[in-house]
Amino acid sequence: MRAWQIGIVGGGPGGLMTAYFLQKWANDPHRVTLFEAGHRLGGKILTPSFQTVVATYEAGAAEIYDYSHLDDDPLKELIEELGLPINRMDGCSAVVGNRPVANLDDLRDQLGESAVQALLAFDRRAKDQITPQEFYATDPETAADPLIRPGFDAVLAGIPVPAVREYVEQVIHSDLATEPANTSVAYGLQNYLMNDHAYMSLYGIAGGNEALPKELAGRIEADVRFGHRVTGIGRTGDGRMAVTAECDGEPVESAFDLVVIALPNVAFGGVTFAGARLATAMAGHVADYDFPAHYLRVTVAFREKFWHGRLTESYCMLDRFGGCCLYDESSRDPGSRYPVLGWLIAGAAAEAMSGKSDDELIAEALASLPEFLEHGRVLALEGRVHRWVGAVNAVPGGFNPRSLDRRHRPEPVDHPRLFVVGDYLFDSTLNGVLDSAEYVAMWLVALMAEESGDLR
Amino acid sequence: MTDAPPPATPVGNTDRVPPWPAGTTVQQLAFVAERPADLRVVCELPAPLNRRAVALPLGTKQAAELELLSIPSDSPEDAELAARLREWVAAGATTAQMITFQGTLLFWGTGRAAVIAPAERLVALETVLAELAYYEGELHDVERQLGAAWPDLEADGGPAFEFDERSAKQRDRLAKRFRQLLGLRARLTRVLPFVLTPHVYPPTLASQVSERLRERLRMRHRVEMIQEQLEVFERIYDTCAQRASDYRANRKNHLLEMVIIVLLAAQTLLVLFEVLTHAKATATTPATTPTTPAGK
Repeated sequence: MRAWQIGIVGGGPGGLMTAYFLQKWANDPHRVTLFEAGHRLGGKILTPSFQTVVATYEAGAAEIYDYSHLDDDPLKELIEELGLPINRMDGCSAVVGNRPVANLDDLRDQLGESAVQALLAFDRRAKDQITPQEFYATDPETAADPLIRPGFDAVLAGIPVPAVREYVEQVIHSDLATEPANTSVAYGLQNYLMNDHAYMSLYGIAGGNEALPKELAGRIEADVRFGHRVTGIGRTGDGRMAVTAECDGEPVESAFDLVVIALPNVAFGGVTFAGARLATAMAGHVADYDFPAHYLRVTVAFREKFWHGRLTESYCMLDRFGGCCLYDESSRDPGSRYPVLGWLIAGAAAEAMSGKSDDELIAEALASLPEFLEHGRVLALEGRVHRWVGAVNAVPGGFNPRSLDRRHRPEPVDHPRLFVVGDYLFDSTLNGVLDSAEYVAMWLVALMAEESGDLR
Repeated sequence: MTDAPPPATPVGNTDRVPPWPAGTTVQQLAFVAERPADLRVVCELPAPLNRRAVALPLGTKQAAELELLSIPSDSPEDAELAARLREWVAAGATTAQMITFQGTLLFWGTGRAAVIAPAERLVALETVLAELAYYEGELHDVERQLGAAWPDLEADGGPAFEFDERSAKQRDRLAKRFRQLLGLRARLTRVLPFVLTPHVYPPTLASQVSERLRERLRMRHRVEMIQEQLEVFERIYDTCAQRASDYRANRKNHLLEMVIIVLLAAQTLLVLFEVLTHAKATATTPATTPTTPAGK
């Protein structure tokens, strides 16, 4: 019996999770080779430090969704399995017109009773359309009509009070990472309902979310090839999969029995797929999910916690940049000497601003602080910027739903051993990428078990 | 609000201590089942509880279950005032919890609470604080009674294993404890839906403060602990009750068996007596031989 050779392209959460599950479940001997273009693993899960002050912050995935009160929550179970402690995150405040709106009382003060009634009516309609169980089980790609119809902006237009419409849009904007017009009704409603604890709650990993990929990387046995940018995938003469990577400007070719591509959809452009059939199938796959969404992360460390008593939760929503989430990064690490605020700018604003310099972005972020916090601008010590343009996917709806098999194996006829893993194949979340990795890893394990006789 | 002015000398006050801010009120609240004619009802607790919080007149001899100091203010950031409030709450309670949330500052201790919030939010906050004081009081009381009952439980472990004549003398006491236990279970069950009520969305300030205070007071975990304890108590006293019932039934059966045995013995004796007396009579009677007439 010889070992199966498995190539995984991408050292982000999808690639690491696939390798981890393969190692955990496979009964057949196999060797995993992991290609990573950069020099670190973890992809969009990143917890760096500042250069001049001792403080860490989340530069990528800021929080993890908790569905465990509804049913199985594989991601939370994985985090528990890895022994990582978690911290709950809470935030229900939005800043509207320079004043915090944390509840219906504030909304009534700020916008009047009609606004409260309009929000409650919208809330009832949203809950009528999606129950917590449906929220848990709904696949935004295959949800029942009319939820998959495109254009959440049409739903928002049904809110009779414009200020409430803006408020709801502001509350969900940074989760969508795009504009409501580019979002399906189901996805838009889900992103509104996730503020209700009956549907979902949020948590982060103590010490930083990057502990998750680090822990996974520490547990997998794989030949990790850093600095190997995969540029081509095709088939060898004997029916195996050929992967060409570029390392220090030199092409390196490898052959594998099975290949998993765990890249963001936007990164497929850098890979050439050999053969007309594969190239067409992969172009179709990319086109199916070609709905790039954007984030900018601006994070600033301050001399003192000037928002103490004003912002009392893990995050709040600002009415700037089309709706922007402001994280109190220091709530993740209460013992930190230097308090940190993080701006998550999303969607069209993030795309438009991504060309600006770091200094300009930091200045704009500080300028966006509401009046009741503006005295803190002079306390800034160091700012950092991370650009995630096109790094995530919108969920626009309205497209032809694909089966889970076809989503994960775009060309089953001539290239049945080429698989794809990605958050965008589900709901563009960390939970989604885990579902995808689990699905493919199980498939590979079954395939190896089924065919292992042929390899003896 | 009570019409009464704030106390001139709250706990810890001296002549040098500045008075409480304008608008400050102190209410002494008690929870009653009947609607009193002469007391102001601060809030009605949810219907199944059949209780209402009433404001007692200041200086009354009836013990208040919650002393609530309320200060209307849009700015809860006065550190000196906060320190005074903490001191006031801590003077009437063992510990004081502090919650700062969306323009509200709350100090909470067993039996005392102090809140600073915008004037228009105070009434709603006072209502949830009164409700929470009732739930907290019920949990605290159940915890206290269960804690005090552990020595009895240890002493009552014997009859749960073997119920004998000596245990039978304790039957009334065991039955009383079992009834008390059922009473505690009923009290806990009655407040559970309110203690474990889910988060409200969209929230109000009052619902948010209530949720945070319930979390801070670890109510959900305490309920779990109380239920665990109640299960241990119930297992012991259930078993005691079963053993006592079995013992009574067995004793009754034994009694019946004894009666039957006695009756059977008596019957046997009677039969024996009858047989013996009949035999004796037969033995003492001369034998009568048939006679034939002479000359026949």
